[in-house]
Amino acid sequence: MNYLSSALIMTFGLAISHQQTLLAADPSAVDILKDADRARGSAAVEEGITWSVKVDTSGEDGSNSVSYLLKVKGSDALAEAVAPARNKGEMMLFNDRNIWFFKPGLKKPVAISPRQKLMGQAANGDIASTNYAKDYEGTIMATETVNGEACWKLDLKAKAKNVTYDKIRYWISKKDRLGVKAEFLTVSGDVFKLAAFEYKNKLNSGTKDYAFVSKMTITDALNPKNITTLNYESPKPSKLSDSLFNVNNLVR
Amino acid sequence: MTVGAPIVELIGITKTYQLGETKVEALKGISLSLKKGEFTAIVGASGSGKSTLLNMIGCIDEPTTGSIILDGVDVHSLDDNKKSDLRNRKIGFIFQSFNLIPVLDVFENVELPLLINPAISAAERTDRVHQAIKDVGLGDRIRNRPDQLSGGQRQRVAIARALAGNPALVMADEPTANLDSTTSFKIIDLMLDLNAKRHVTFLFSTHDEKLMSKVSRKVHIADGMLVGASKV
Amino acid sequence: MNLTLLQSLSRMAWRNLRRNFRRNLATGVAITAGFTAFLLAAGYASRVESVLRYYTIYGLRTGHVTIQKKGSLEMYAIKPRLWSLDENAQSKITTVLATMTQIEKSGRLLKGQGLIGNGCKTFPFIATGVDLDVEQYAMTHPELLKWTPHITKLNIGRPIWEAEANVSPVAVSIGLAKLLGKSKTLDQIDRTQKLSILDCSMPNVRDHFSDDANVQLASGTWDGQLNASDSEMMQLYSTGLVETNSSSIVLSMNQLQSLYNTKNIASYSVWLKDAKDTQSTINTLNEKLGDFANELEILPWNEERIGPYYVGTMRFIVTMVGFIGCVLALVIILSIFNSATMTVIERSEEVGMLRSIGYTRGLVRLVFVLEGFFLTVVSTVFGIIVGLTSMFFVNRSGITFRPPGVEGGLQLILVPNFWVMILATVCVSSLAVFATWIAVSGISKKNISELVAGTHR
Repeated sequence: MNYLSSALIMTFGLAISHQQTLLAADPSAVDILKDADRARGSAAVEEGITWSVKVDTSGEDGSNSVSYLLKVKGSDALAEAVAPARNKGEMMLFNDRNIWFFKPGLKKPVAISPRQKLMGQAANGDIASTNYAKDYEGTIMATETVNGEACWKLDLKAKAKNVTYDKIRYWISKKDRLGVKAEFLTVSGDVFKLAAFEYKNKLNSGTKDYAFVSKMTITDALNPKNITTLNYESPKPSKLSDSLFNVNNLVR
Repeated sequence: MTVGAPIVELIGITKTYQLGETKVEALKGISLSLKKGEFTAIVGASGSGKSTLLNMIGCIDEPTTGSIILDGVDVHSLDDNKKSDLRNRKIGFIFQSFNLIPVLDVFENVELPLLINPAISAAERTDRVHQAIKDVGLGDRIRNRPDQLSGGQRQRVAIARALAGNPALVMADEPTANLDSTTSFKIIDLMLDLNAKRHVTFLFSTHDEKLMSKVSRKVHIADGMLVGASKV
Repeated sequence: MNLTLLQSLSRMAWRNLRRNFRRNLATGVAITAGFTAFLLAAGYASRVESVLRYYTIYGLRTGHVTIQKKGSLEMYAIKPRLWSLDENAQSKITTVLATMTQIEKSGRLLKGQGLIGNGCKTFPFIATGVDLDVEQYAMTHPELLKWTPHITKLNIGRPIWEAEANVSPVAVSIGLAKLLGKSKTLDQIDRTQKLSILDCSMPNVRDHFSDDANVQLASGTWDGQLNASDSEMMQLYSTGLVETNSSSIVLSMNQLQSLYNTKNIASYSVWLKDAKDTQSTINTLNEKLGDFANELEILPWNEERIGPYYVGTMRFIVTMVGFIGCVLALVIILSIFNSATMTVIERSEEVGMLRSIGYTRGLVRLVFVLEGFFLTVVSTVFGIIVGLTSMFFVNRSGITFRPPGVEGGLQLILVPNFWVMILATVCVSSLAVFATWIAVSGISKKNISELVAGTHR
């Protein structure tokens, strides 16, 4: 009897320690997310980055296109519409999780929600840099292959109410730690939007080249005809003044 | 006093009541004829069947067998409404307890049976009511209510009500039972007087021997059967 | 039956009421009390009905008739662009409306959602866009002012149709203004002062929100872009309902159309000279709009989807008054039946006498039925007098109460309704006749000789 118990304990004990060894081999979810966030504009260069993004929507409500110039520094971002003429001068200021909208003629900026639709399938929060590592509690759930590439599958849960999504399923490539695809979920856990990412841009931080997002395609999960594409161009480091991101300076 | 053709004919009248599980034969084959203008008393002890007989003649109760011919009409053949009409036009009722309506005055009480007779105009009705009240000697109490009258006066009102419709037959079931003897004689005298003046057939029941001396015909009833008829 | 007989029987019945005075008094008091309670409940219902009716027609700008795209009542909130009336549809409808003489006023409505901001914070709004002349017509309608003073008296500032040409006015519901921290309207602030941009991180920033009447409205346009516009708070108003008092705003049609970047509207409201023409107007509109009417829904104001608050509340109130009416009917039937039954038993010899002297069963019943009828009529007349007097004192006493969902206190006012009184009197009298008839019919069929002798029992 004693022999048998000892054998069982040893067998299970070995099995448990083996499992721990496997998990310990993976990096932490926060580290993975930090790397993935950097390729989507977050904290790659301390003094600031700029890029341009063109948002194209198509679907049952017609099609539309607006171009923005993005200026990002730390957790602040400023998106300024540059085309078409109708939207020119419209600005969205991201102070961490707070978003302000301003357009010429307004006497004051308007606080808006990151969850509110900006255009088509894109939410306001989608246009700026992402900081999933800070805004979400991430858990590695599994390893899956996406487009022939081994990926970590992460479940992200919002840490605060004023972030863009309640829940995200995020696939990050193991090889280069870039977000490959994402599913955005409602509070009840239903997928309502799908996103796919491409990284053909390069951002030179001065010391090193980083892959930078070039395309984000967001599709309506219920109606796949409704697609919004964000095409990113010319990411580059730029020395940005803090006053750019002061809401009081929006009204000039 | 002239006595004419029969106004009421009873042929083989029986009446049986069901009292619990017992059958009570109140009338046992009574045949009787009353002629126009007669003043008849039905005499009998209490429970002899005299009230039942009067109810049959007055069409307010149905015989079990036999037939009643009232002024040429077989009563049995009539429905309830026609019987009501027959009572209204042919029969006057005088009750032991007067049965006046306390909220109506003398005139209105007497007027009651005439109101439902469409053959009588308003003017004629008023005349008849006044005449009937005058005939019973209450011309000065026309607007009095029953509670302002004595027992005798109330019975006079009842007599006036019975006479106002000029009926062929006036029926009175123990009309003097609730009156003292002086008043009782006065009421019988009044009825006799009206019988003489108006030639109305009077039929009344009584068990008061003193009153019987006044009537022209007595019909004795005992145990639901006639025991003899006499003329005084 | 001749008139003299009826008069005589009525006289007898009327006088008979005095014979059992105490019993009849008790019966009469029961009927009077029940009838008074019913009239008070009906008076309350009548008041609430009028308030809700005119609140819906004018206060909510529903009109007597509304015209919208078929299916828009369910779908407009989800996809307003697809379920609204475009310029072409508006042109067709306006042309037809212009030909109809029964129409007093018609106007366009636009509804939508968005965010309203004070420079630091935003809150969701539900907006109504309306042409200013239509707004003036609806909000100053005498019926609205007469029936909803508890709502209109709460208004602060000037109505939006009085705004100067260089001002984009908005009327903000009181609860929403409170959320925004704005208590002053445009007229209450010093307009010569330059608008300051607040530092929202200041600890006492809330104290400065009321320094100006300026607000920003932000929303997605109907073609899917973010938009915002400036407005000045001209008026604070109460919607009268807790549910909407912290989210509603009203602004001009042009402003709201510009915010949503559309020329479309949600619906037309049509106000009639005579409300009785509502259904005929719907019929005429359907006829005149021809095939185009098939694409529309033309509905009366009291249709459940158009006036859900009116329909829902009235359903409850009518049920309540109906219940009181049923209780009253039961009280009357039982009181009269009881009284009549006892009366006929006591007066069975009289019934026998009447039958003996030629009164038919029907006539005997009539005597008693007339008594019940008179007793009831007298009681209901007293009920009306007591009811009207009570209403007078209740209305004068200024009692206020707060019905669920209603913003602020509502003064308890009871409105006598002439037709309800007539109808209730007729119903109550009919019930009395019915109850007496039933009570008497048994005895009138009894053997007459037994009735006369008092042995029928």
